[in-house]
Amino acid sequence: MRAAALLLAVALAATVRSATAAPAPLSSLDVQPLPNDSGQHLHVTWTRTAAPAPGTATVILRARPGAATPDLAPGRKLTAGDALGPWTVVGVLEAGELDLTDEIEADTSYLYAGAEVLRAADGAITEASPVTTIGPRAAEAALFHRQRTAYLVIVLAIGLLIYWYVRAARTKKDLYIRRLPGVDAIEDSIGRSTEMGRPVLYVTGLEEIQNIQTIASLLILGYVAEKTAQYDTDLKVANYYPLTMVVAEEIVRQGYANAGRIDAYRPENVLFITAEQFAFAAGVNGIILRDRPATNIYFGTFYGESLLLAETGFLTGAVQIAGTAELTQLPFFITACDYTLIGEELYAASAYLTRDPVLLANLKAADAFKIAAMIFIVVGVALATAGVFDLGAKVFP
Amino acid sequence: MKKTLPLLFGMVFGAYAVIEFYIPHHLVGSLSDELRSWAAILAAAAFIIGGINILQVTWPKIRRREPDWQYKVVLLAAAAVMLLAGLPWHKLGDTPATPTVLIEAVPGPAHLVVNAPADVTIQVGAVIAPPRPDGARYQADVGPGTVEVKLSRRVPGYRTQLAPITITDGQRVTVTGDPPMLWGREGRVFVWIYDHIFSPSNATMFALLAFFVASAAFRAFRARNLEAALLLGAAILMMLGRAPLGRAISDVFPDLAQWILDVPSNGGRRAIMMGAAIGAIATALRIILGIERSHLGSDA
Repeated sequence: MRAAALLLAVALAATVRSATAAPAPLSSLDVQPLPNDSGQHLHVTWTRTAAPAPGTATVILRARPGAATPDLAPGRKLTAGDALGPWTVVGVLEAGELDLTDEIEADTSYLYAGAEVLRAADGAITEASPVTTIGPRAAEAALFHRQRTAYLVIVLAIGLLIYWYVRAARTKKDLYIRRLPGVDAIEDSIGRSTEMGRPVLYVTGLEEIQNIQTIASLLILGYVAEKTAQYDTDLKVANYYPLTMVVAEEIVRQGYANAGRIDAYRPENVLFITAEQFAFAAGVNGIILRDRPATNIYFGTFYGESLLLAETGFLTGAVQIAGTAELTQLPFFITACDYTLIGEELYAASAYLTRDPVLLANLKAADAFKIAAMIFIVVGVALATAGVFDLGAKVFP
Repeated sequence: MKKTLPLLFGMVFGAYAVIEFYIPHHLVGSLSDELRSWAAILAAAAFIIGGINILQVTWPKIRRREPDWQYKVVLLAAAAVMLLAGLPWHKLGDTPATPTVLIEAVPGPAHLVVNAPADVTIQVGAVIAPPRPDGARYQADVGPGTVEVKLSRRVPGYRTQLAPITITDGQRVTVTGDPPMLWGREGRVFVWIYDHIFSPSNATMFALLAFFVASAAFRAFRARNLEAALLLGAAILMMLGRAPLGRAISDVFPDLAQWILDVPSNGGRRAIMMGAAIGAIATALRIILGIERSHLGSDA
């Protein structure tokens, strides 16, 4: 009886084994460099000769030229990154994928191999198709990112407009720039601080020195420092990052030097508060409540703490001027501050303050480009609405 | 020279940063990575300067007993405590990364005994031992072979101890361990201060925002002129559209609120964003091309 059962089990196992056909090999295995690539990626594609059975996985391997065909013997467990002799497993794909992107060493050629495998529950290969190989192939490093052509054109166009307007500014001195009441109010508010005998507080925002809003803020800080030096008023500068503080220190010192009041410069007034958002807000609020500055200037990048700062300043009765390109914080500043520079006005402020024709020419160039952008948008919207041409998708793929 | 050199550096590295965006070649990318590493080192070093600045600003105020000098003492003490707690003191001593393992020959099946304090979680292979009273040992018969014993504490800030042991029938393996406390940023003291003092304080500051929003909204929504009246009207529609009350009155309010967000509000947002982006490009070019020099001061 026991022998009969054993025979039956062996027969059943043989039937199941013969019913599970060996996977078919991959066809059309291809390896191509990616466009606009750094030269460190290859795109591997393949097709299948037959629909894969459930549980089939595709194994893709890579090796240096000269390697023998890899042996995907039953019993092996493979995962991405494993070494198989000279071959490295690039991927074991189970979801029916037909391509993958492989990250490789630059300036190196590789052979690629692919096969379909059936695996047991523990991941061990039970059956493998014949291995298909291709290569050697190498990635291509592009010298220009073609999909970014439109962005380069924008930068070059603005550059050309700046050049043109700077040339024009050298001959024609009176360039019209619309008033920026928030920037005009800076000197008035410093004067008010002087009359009240209270300091001016300047916050450089919550981003690092390489952030363009922080840079714009620091450019304005030079002017504010010069004015406070002229008015003999204390200027306190609150910084979120120490590197910003170091640069702000130098800018304030230079502002005092430009005003001929280097003796009045107090380095301890340029403060590093902390690089933690709400701890920074607490620190600056402490300064506002203890020192009662008559003017609070918030220029730079701000986040959730913007209203905490501006409302506290409002409660102390200070004149408050804010400027940021952070859309979500603008409503808070507009509500709680006396003047708010919206977006581009923050970038324009330093040029506006100096009244240097060359810098004003820069603003005119930006304005001219804005007009061009508006025309582009109107034309694009009209063409797309009429169903003639999708200009936006073509220019910015 | 004092002005020319920074200007030159600004132009060269600024131009490089622009060019890098358009050249995907790996050599350019690796140089950029190198420059970013320099910047990270510089930023890290600046934190030391930041610490010195805090000391320079606060210490004289404490010495002169200026108003609110007590807060400065708290600031310096807190900074000192965090500095001390943030240093990896455990690396100075010998903190065991693995528990001690004693193998004895005892007739019977393979037997595992784990000695660890009650607050230590014992994991044998994939099995987590049930909680046990203080002083009690974990004991279990295990199958012959290799099994990993993992000792960890539920609270963070302690080292996890691992002991891969090979056991056969006729052996009793006794694992004795007590995950040691760590110092530094992942250490117990630092994490405890962060979780129990810093995080609640941070949350308190954030929670204040709700009251500030209420007071700011009260001021903003007074219809003193046409713009303020428009703002008030839009705000009322938005509130009706978002609150259940609005839908109860009419299904129009949610749709109207969404329309305000999608059309006029979105249009305005995009206009500001595009203006700011063009302004940012112009400012960057101004600095890279050396047109903007106000931050450099005079050449004295």
